[in-house]
Amino acid sequence: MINKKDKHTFTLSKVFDAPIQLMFDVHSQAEHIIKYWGPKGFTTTLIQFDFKPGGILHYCMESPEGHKSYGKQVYREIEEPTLINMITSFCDEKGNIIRHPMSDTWPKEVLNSMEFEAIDDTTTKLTVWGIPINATEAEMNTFYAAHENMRNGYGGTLAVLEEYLKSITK
Amino acid sequence: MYERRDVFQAIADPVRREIIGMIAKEPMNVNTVAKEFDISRPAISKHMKILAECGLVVINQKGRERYCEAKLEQLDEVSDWVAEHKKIWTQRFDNLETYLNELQTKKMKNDQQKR
Repeated sequence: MINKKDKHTFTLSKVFDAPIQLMFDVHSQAEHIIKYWGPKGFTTTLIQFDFKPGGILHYCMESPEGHKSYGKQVYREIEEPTLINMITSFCDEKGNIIRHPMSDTWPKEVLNSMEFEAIDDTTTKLTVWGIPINATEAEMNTFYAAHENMRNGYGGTLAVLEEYLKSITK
Repeated sequence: MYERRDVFQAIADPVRREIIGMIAKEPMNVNTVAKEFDISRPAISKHMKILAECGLVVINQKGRERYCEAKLEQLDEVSDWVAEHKKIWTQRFDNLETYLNELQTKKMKNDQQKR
């Protein structure tokens, strides 16, 4: 389902001073997630949380001024303690997907993947990548997966697009 | 319901990303593009239509042939989004780092008290 070539739209890595299991736990347990998920000064509360493939994290972030915004994640693949794939989006208090409240130029749904890699017993590298996705459409078009091998032949042309994306992000 | 098309919808599909990649350097005949894919002509037409509606591709009639041309300026919107997205995750990573330090310092103190 997930094409590694797609990674390049957005990617960010950081090495943390924590064992890989703890790194995974702080992403899979509610009491940890609320502590760091939102921006500084914001209060995060979980409305719904079901950490399993197909499960949903629906949360509310409240700004220091009391403004509330809502977000949602639908988990896709989970491999403890190395991988979490999820579709993230903004939503309303009922969980209906909406556009970014402050921006018109933001994808409705983003496929985010988090990869955890143990450097040693106490250090873990976390890489997150993201790509806009039309989840409903992607699910309708799953037959494209059968043509994966054919698509791999076009690595060269895709590289042109990647180059271009890189040049404009600089 | 009318759904506004945007550039993210255009690049949300791997086939559409490939089409853009193919025509990024020079305009190509629509038939030539279609031949490169192992999916039906109507499916390719549907992707072309979406790309055109999103403003990433312009289709020009030249005599009997139809040429598609990529309009890559639209992708600037993508780079704006990438920058914003990065900001959110950078901040989240910083918060997480602080939280992990607190968590592990607390655990170390607890362990020492137990001894």
